[in-house]
Amino acid sequence: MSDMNRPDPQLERSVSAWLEDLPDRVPDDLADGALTRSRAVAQRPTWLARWHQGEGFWGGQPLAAAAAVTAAVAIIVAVVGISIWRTGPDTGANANAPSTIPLEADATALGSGFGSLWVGDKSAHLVRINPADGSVEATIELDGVPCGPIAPASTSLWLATCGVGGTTTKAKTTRVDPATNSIVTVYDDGAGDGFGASAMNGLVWFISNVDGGQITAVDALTGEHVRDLTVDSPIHHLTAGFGSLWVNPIGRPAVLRIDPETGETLAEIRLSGDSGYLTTSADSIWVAEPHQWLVARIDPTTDRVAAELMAAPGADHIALAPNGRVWALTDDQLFAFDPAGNQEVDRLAVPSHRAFDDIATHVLALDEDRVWFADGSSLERLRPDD
Amino acid sequence: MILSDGVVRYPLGVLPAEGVGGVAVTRDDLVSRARSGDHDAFDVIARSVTARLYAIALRILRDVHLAEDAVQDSLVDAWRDLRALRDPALFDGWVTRILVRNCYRSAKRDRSTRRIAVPAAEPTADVSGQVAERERIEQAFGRLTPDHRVVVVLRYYLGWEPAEISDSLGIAPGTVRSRLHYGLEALRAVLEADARA
Repeated sequence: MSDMNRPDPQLERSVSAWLEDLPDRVPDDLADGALTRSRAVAQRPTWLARWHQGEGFWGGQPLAAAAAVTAAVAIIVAVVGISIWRTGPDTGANANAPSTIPLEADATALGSGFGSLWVGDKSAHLVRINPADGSVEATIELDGVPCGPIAPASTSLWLATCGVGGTTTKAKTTRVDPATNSIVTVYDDGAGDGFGASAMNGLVWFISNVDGGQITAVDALTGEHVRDLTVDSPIHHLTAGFGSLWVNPIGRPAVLRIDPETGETLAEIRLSGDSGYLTTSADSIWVAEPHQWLVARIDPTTDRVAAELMAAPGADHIALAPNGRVWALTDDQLFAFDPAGNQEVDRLAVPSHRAFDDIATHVLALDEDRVWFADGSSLERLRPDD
Repeated sequence: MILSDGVVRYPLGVLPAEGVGGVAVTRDDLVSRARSGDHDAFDVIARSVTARLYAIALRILRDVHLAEDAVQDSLVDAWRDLRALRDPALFDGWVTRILVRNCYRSAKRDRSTRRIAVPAAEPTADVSGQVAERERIEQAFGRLTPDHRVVVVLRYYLGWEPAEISDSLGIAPGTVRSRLHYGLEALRAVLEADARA
């Protein structure tokens, strides 16, 4: 083990020289594309621009900020007071559901299932939380930091864990029994860092080797290994539905439809841009296209894109609500789409979040009628009635 | 720069810092004009920084398409938030920070990027040992997480000091040093292992 502060000028020179020598011919139309886009964008007012650039609304001017906060609090108190006076207190099912639940450590993953919220955190814990009152029902120690979605499939909860700092070389897939709040199986193949586990026909499927394009099927009840499939491409997201597996090939703007018996590619559905998370709804496969700011809906009866819905930069994490709506989390907004009309039906501002910082990439969960969002060391309930 | 009907136009891709038609226009003037909503001025500035931004993005993301996206997104962000920039002289650093943040997000969002190599450097008159070493660095660098790649590029390509990196990324200075240390250690480990083989 070398000294923490030991300089190595030769290595530093080698790295600098290598970085300097990398070819980087600029595409001819790169600036044109950006400038065409920017011409269509209005400049933000100064205060909003500074807020977006992390300076806060008032650009570090404390007196102005204090005055604004005081005024805002007064207005909020007045509005809330009038609202309660006019409508009476909330006595519905969500009356006691907390709007914020503090966490012991920063969240890196969030999921819902079996009546609970499940939070993976940087301390390598999986915390089971009762969404009705925010109480911690169980804390399960993991041997890695959750680094992907936490997905219920069949009778178990499934999640991917990574090494400290999000190193995927030590990624594993873990199966948790919600009846006993304990780890049942760890599938330690050293490459299980694909996103998504999905149940179909008595089997649970997950990506067990991203680079090798390997998908593993285990018995949904016993967890025993059933078969491995190999796709002729590195893959990184998976969902199951309509008798097939659906995966994203790395490096190609497409979704592949895979035969779950043979691993054969049944169809390649081309998208406008690189694909992100996948999920299955009653009649469609949904896929995020984060670099195109889109969420695409694939019709499994035709193996074609039925619609591409405009979201916002970074539209990546998508989740399906019990009422059929599809939610997409972007850098600063949360969109809801109605599959029936292929249109946006709701949009919420998301607090300045760290969802895409560090290894926290999957921090949206839909629990019954509530939308939950993990923002660092707290869970925020964004909407009680969708 | 052409003045006509009170509208300012600049030749695309040309910085008229030396002045045109007897009117001296500095880079800071252009930034100030862009900040006031003059998109033509922004055109000139944006084109002048595109190559540098692309070089940085390509080294961090190691994927030409993601690098293009990051640069385009950053220029759009820069235009949209330009009024946040207080001092026009700081434009280059400011837009670089926007790019780095976008690269950081992009790399986090798509971990596949670590597996996609940029084209290898053209062989030159380099001796074979140096070529082999660069290939090993290339492989080792590709194995670093985005966290580590970002700080290594900022430190050893842009030459930023740890405090500057800390400020730009919004992470603690100790974290920067730790990531630099880890990144170099990982590179060193691969090189030493290969040397022993």
